[in-house]
Amino acid sequence: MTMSVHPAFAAGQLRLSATYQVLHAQGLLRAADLALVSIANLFQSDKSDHINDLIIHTVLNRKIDRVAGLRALFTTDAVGNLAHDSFKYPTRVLDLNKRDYIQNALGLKENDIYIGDPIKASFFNLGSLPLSRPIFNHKGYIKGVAVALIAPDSLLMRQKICKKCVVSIFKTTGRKVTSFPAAVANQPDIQAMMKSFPENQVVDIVINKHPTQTVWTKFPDYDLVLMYSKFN
Amino acid sequence: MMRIAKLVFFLFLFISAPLVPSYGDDKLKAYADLQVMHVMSTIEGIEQALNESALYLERDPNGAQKDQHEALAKYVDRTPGLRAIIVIGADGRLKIDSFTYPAKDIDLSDRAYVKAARQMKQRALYIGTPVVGRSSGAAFIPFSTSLLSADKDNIGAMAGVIHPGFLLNQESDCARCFVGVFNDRHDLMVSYPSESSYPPAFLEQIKAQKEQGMIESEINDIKFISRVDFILPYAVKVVTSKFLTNPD
Repeated sequence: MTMSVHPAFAAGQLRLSATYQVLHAQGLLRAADLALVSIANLFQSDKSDHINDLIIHTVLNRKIDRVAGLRALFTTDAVGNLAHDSFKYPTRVLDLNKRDYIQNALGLKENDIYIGDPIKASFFNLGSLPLSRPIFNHKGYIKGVAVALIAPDSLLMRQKICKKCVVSIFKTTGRKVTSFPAAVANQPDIQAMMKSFPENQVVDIVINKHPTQTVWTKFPDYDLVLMYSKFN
Repeated sequence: MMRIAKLVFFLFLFISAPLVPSYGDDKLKAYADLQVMHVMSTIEGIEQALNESALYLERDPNGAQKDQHEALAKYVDRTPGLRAIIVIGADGRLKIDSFTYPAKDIDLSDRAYVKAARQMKQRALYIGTPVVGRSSGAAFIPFSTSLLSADKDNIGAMAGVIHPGFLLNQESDCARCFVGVFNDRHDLMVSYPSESSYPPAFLEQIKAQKEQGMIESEINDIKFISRVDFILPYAVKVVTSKFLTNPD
């Protein structure tokens, strides 16, 4: 391809590439999100208390089959005890009360979603990103939490990322969710980036002693930020 | 952008353009990739919202209307761009509306998207032609799928409506670009800039393009190139174009 590119032209392409990755990631998040809406709707009805547990286990697994990148779906009761689990049947006895994705979901309004901190080594899977939402019963009382686990690597479309590029997704709290390449040393602090530079503006910054063009952009529909760097 | 819209709107033309393979333009490619990703993920989201809603209803078709209305509203709320999901009964009448409870008792059996869904014997997605809402007066694009009994009999239809503008990415820029989305009946579903009028000869070129590729066109000495992309699962065509010279 072209060796020297006008700076403004290259900046435009970097922005487009960043937006592309955000759209791709949002697609996966949305699929998990809508699966969680279904679980909340299912358990809102009192009739769900009479559905055979094995049937629910099967229903959860069918949803996982339909969505690439969705690793697991499970529910807990209102105090965080595992209730239904796509991974194993019969359900194990497991207290998840202290997990951030349970605690934060319990505080949410009805149709809201929480993106948890990435789970490194867990009982269910290595490297998962949890999404959670509260389940209410028919009378409007909290009944439990529904959780989806996504494979963080699936959030980025790697084949679209150039050889000299590094793309990362962070929670707005600063926690890194994923990046490609995976192991990246001395990445800039995303919260510092967000404070120092406007969104969607390509800036020249030095990362790990190398000059780069870097842009950050927020996800429109989820509490995440993407950073895209091209090393010169 | 306004100049481009005006130009395209007023131009009628003689297009002399043989099909020329693979003209490289990196910016156009990046912009086209973005629009294709946007269109695809928007339709995927709508399809999933409709499928999940259909599964919910089929599990308990005789549930309380209020519960069903609230359940559908939750799906709509979490799918940006989706304005409403409605349920049409076996008799072709509106049964549930995520937007309004109770639903108005109106006959929708003459709508193309209802007819198409009521004929389905399995779960499929019908992508409608943009229509102007009879009560709202606002334009929307309808999507629909079937509601099936356990024996796979058609028991009605499920439809979602979106504002056409949500189908394309309106935030990203590409100077001198314009983009249009066509369904499999060659209807223009939406364009950006909006209200763009596609010259008939260009539409013929687009129709004739049967696989992904580039088209070169010329309108009154103004040259532009287009990349035609197919989103195969939905039989939708995205045509991203860029003026090669200043349209002035």
